[in-house]
Amino acid sequence: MRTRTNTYFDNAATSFPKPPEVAEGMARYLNEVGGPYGRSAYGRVLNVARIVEETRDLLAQRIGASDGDHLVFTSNATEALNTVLRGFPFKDSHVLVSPLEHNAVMRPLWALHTSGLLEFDVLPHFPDGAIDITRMSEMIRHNTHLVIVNHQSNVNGVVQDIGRIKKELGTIPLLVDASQSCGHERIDLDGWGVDYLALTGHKGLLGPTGTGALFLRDPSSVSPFRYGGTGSRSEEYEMPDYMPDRFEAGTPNIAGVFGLREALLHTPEYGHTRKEYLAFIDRLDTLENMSVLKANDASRQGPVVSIMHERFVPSELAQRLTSRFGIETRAGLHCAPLAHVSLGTAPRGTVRISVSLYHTSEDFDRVFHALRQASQP
Amino acid sequence: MKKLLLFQTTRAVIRAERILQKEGFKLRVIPVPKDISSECGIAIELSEEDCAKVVSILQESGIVAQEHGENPGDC
Repeated sequence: MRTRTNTYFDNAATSFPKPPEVAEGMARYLNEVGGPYGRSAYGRVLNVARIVEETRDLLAQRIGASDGDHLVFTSNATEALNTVLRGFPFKDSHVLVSPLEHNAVMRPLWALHTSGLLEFDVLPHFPDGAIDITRMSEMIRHNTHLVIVNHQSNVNGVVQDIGRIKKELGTIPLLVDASQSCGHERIDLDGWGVDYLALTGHKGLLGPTGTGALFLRDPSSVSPFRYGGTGSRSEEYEMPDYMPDRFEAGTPNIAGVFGLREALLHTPEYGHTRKEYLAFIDRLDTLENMSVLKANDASRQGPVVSIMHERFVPSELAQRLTSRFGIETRAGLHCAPLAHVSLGTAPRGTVRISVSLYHTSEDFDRVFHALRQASQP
Repeated sequence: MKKLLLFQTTRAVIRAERILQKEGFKLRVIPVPKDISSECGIAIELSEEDCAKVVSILQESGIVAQEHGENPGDC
């Protein structure tokens, strides 16, 4: 469903539009299929279970994970990240984080820090927030128990080189936040040797809100975050230790999973080329009184950039774009204060432009001309 | 005689069903009978002859299945 004028540029918050099959899949579950997952053995339950497991395998395939058993559904990436951070056996620990982390990581990490369980440091990086991999080893201590890296920044779109980072880390566990990258960037989870990966279904994958997933290479390394019924080993109070039940207490978001399946099966063709997108960013760079926050290396640029105006605060510029041109962007800190500190844009923040694969070069032109006019006094 | 295959999780049952149907085995996914203590409410029923073959096929795919019949352990 490509609208004639796609004015929505807040796809890093949640993508829109979605493939029409997503809503149809959800409606099919709600109106026709119905029933729970794995709690009985009548036909309706089996039909639900077959769809849920097919979706799990499709998702595992999409992120390069050979073992779908180790991929658990969550309500979003935040829950997936919390599952690892709250379940990891931190004690006198040191944690390293990328300079572009979102509060989905920083808030649970801060809570653990204030509880006295860990200290954390920011990895060495270049001015755009790309990790300086050659200097990472300087930061590693004997008690560095976990490294956390945001695969693609939700502020300036920098895509980190996860494969090289993990190679440098060796056996130190790596948690990757793929909230922004999943659906846009290639993820080679097994090839890279990533230990934990959190993702969401409603951004780049174009699925519904309320869907997400967590991959755990060694599930026994993390305690469950949620405890409850799984439909298995019901005679025991203890959570099952096998996957995926260990991390899937409670009825899952079945309608959401039905929608996510359709999103995975019906990914649309791009409405623009990579070249057109990069040319759009280059044009933004030519605007007077504006500066663009982007990747220094264009090959590591994701579909998100931020802009700052010399005079207008981000909220004012965003409001001008909306009220005069109907263009929807996001202003402020984007729940990523660490990223803005690292990029030198705190506390003011930026106006973020996050594109969808549905956008066309004409849509980019519209934003460019709107920004040029909106930036005039 | 029919035999049952028991699994730990719903996912394991669904994966086993998919693999065995692809291999051409005749099977039924049924509720686990009340007299059997199982870790999952769903089981796969198939012939005794097939039971001997499928456990190893499932093992190759990393699926743990436990057979249950009139003479458990015969498979």
